[in-house]
Amino acid sequence: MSAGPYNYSYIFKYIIIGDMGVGKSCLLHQFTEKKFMADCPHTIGVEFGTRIIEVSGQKIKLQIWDTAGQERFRAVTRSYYRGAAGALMVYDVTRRSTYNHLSSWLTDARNLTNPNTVIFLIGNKSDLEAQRDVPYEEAKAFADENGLTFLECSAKTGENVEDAFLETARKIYQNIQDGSLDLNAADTGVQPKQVVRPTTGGSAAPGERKECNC
Amino acid sequence: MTFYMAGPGRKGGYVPGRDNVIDEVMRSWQEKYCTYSEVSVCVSTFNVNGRSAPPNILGWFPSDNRADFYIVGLQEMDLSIGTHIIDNMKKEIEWIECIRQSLPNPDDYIKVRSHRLVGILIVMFKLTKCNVQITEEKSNLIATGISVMGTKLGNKGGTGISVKINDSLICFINCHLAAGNGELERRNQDFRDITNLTFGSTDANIWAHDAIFWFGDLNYRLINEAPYTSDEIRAIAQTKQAHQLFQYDQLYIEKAKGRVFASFEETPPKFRPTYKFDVGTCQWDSSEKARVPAWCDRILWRKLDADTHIRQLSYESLEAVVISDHKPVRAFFALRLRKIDQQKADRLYEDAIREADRRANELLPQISLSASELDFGEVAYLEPNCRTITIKNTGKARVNLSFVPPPNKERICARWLQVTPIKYALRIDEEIQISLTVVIDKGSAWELSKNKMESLQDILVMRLEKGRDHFLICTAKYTPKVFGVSLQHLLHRNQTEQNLIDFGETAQVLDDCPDGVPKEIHRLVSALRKIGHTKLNFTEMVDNSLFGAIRTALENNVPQDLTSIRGVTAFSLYSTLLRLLDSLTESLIPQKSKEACLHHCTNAVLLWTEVAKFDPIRVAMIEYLTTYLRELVSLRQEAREQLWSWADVFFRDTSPPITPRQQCLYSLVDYARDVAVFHSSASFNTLPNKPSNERLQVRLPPPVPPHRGTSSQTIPRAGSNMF
Repeated sequence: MSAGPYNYSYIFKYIIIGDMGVGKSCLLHQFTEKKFMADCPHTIGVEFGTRIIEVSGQKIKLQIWDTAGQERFRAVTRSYYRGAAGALMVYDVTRRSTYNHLSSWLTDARNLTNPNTVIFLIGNKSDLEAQRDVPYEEAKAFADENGLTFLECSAKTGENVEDAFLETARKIYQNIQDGSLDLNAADTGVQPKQVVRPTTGGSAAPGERKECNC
Repeated sequence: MTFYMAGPGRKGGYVPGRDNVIDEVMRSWQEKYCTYSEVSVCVSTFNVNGRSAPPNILGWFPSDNRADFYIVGLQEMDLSIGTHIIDNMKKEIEWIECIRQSLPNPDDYIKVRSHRLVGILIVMFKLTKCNVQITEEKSNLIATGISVMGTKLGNKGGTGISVKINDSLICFINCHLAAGNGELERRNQDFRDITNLTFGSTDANIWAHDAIFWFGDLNYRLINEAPYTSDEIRAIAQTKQAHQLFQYDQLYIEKAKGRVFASFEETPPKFRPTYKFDVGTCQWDSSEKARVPAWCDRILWRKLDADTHIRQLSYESLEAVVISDHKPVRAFFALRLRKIDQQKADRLYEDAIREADRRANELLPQISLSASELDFGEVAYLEPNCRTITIKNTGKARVNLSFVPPPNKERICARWLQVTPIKYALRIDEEIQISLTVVIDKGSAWELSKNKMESLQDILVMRLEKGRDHFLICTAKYTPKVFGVSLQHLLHRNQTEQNLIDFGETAQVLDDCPDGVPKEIHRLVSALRKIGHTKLNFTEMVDNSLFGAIRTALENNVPQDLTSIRGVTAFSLYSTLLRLLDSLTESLIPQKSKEACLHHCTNAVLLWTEVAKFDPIRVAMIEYLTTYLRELVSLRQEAREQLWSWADVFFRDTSPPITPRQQCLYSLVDYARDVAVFHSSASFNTLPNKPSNERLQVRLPPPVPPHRGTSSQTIPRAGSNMF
């Protein structure tokens, strides 16, 4: 990685959460590489990817942490939530169990992030219409009830993937603009204009958080 | 990177300097959004030896080769006394006019800029009708000469001009480095000093330029080690073979070694050395000093990267010019200039961002693991179980990996697990083995039995610096059996298993096992008695495989008779007994009674009275063990020192002071409980403090006839290494 200061308008930290096999890593890959990974192995750990996007003429660097979905890692992966500006909560529209677990994921997301973290609900695998197990309307109602933004996406075809990531950024940016997100507060997951070193890894103290909080 | 600054405030357009990776991508894509034109550049350097400027110098610049730009550097333009203090503009004006008048068609050129440091002058001319734009022009100087009162005099140093032509940033530096054969290191240092030259702002350093042309009287000479005499050199330098001397050129050698001008280029000169001539001639210096000819006057260049195109068209000296003791040196270059099509650049910007993302993600550390889950299976007490995984750096960058404590934990892994190495820097394609070892020591065993855990699982977090985290899952199964359990558990185990064991041999052993004493303890002590106290060699080393065999026999009840274990020694049984007692979750002397016991450490009567208050299992154990020790000590005087270890085990405490605890053990071992009680009832309130000679010899009859051991040997304390 080349040395020297990077200068974006902002850096946003995202986390992707949800049951095993719902396609979290594929969504990340589709978003950063515009490609579908057919044989994506289970994530045993926490993946990391970046992409620069533009919101209202501002260049924003997204740092995306893609967490392992297996239940047994839950205790460990919880620590990566801290300091996330956006949380993408993913279920698989063809597997109802992954949808049923959403409330548990949502509880974690609400408890472990700050109140301004934008939580975005994604129903993945929308291309598999024939195997659909969760109706759009039902998930939409769930999202409305809990104040989440919702989209069905396909990491395979790429449908709506951009929108989910970008819409989340727009909401975060809006929160900054209207002042509801206090950039001086701890763990906002937003790093405003300043010299930034590339991030160090995740759990206890990712570099980007330290720098904006200290 | 300053070479393509875009106008401010263009929304959504490309502005360099925001992201290094994007800048790099845009730079590598230049040909997609730039147009190019080639200009000719003529560079010349001339040490004029303080001569006044003639009206012009014929032949300096050929009339049949008209360059778009002329850049001339003079040295020793003004040597007159006082020049170092008082600037004299007159000579500068005259020389600039001389240079102009020497150009092929003086009226066609305009002066772009000039800059002078005493006698070091740089001037740049441009062909008026040349269709390129100079949008920025700056110049500066840096002095390296003798320091007077903290200020460097301008007798040596450099002057430079920085220009942006179209969208290429070009820099010209004229310098005069330290003179003299022996001043090689001084010249190198002068060069390094001059590289600090900046233009305008501090960040506009010379290295940011697409091209640097560096010329002047660099003053490098031929090395003294050249295999020729001074006269021979003068002779060779006179001929067409002069270029053969170039291999002895100091600059050529220093540059090859990377000490100076490392990233610069120079064509080896085909011309003769340019110094030192008798003024007015082409004859080598005939003065008393008779200086050895050298290529003092040079022209070098440096390209920022492959996108800079420079072709040298000629490199020559002008021997016909005889006004100085140096000859002028002149070079023609074809220089490619870029012009940015900002609209095209802006259109490419989005693509460049994507490409930068791709590269940034590609540069993230990547590794492969031979396994991310390790199952150690059934593990036994104090039996190390080791597995390795292979990690390979499959990415495109070096990987710094380290195991970090999982959230809310202080240690990187559970107590029963060890991992090495915990930090490593992996080169690309390099592989390393990480070893993970499960060891259930007493601490882990207590922890596990306290939490009623049998299935062990731990998730290790391996962090790749500036990248992702990998989890490593380790599982094992551990069943508490004989070691690391409570006395209750040991006793209970006896009861439940009695029915399972086949009788015969067992019945006999269990028959004489006193009530309240765990069978495993009794089996160990019985085996020790069977082998004989005199066979117990305290100097033996603890053998872990033998320990494993005894532990297995204790756990499985087979063989019942521990002396039948292959290779078993009295010491291995003895150390196992200590390990077993030490592994129990509770100490033999209860924590709450410790103070009282230590208080009575010299008084066996009161001590035993205190012990009698313990729970029955402890009382039975203490009676049983002290009986065994009494036997041992009575036969082996030297075994008394062993009681120190037993004091550690009884009290589960090794902190100072240790003497009272040892005294307790002496008292308990020297006086059996019933004897002490007997004396107590007979109003012997105090027993002798030092009972070694007068003490009451109360012991159970030993099961084997007493032998006198080799008591002369000193007995080391079988100590901490046993646990």
